[in-house]
Amino acid sequence: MRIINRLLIACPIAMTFLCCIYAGPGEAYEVKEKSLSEKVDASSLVFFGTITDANYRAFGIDSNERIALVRVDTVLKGSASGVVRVRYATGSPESDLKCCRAGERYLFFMSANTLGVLESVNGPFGAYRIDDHAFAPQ
Amino acid sequence: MTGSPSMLTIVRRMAIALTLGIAWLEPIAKANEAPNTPLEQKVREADLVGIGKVVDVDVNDPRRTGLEHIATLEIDTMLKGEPTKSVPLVYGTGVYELDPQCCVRGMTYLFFLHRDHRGLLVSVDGPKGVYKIAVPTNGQAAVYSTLKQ
Repeated sequence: MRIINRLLIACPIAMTFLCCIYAGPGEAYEVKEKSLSEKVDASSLVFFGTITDANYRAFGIDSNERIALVRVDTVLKGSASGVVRVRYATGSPESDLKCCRAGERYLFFMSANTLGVLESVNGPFGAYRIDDHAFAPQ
Repeated sequence: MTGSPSMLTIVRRMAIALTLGIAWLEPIAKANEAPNTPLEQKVREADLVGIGKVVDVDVNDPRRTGLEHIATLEIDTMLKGEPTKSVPLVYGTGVYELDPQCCVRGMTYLFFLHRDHRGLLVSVDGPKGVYKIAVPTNGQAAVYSTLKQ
């Protein structure tokens, strides 16, 4: 009986301790939203674009990665035309863009990686959906 | 032979005069053209950057003067500035070249605006301070900005 009582006390303490340990790394991945100026400064390309293909696959793309083909509609900063590749998921939900479905339109704040694929300059805060009646920041 | 200039000489003189005239007039013609400001500068100068919809035009605001036209915007996504729902925008200033390419009721735009001494919002970059981004057509948004960069 005494053992059971001790277990009843020890278990919640152990659980709390474990939660504290895991809360640290969890918060470390949290991406804070930059100011608009910081986003613009960090971007090599700011543009309005329309998703034409949300599941682009090609050699060299990791299985966790998701890349969309995006038609460039209007460029606000940088230079681009036609269709560009945007990486919107990397396997890390905290930093992934909440994007993209074919036909949806966004305002993107992007920079190109070494492979020429565009990536968000601010994790989930690097794209804003601009479809009519759907203006929640992504 | 030295009396009157030949036809070729007259044509040459006219061509030179025309070239000089155009060169002189060009800066005057561009005098009212708004410069194309970098995006960083537009953001810095703006008190409000947001995506929103024009809900009313030709608003009879007591602060308007002369040839000004004022629209009411509903901001759906605020990218910079204090969160606010409804704001007044001066979209007609009386100088066509400096007017933002706005505002059609129901249309959606991206705005870069600063607040003037009257509390009215004006484009930070004339015609290039407002971008048209959506036009509802048959229930679907399908028309994109045509503003030049």
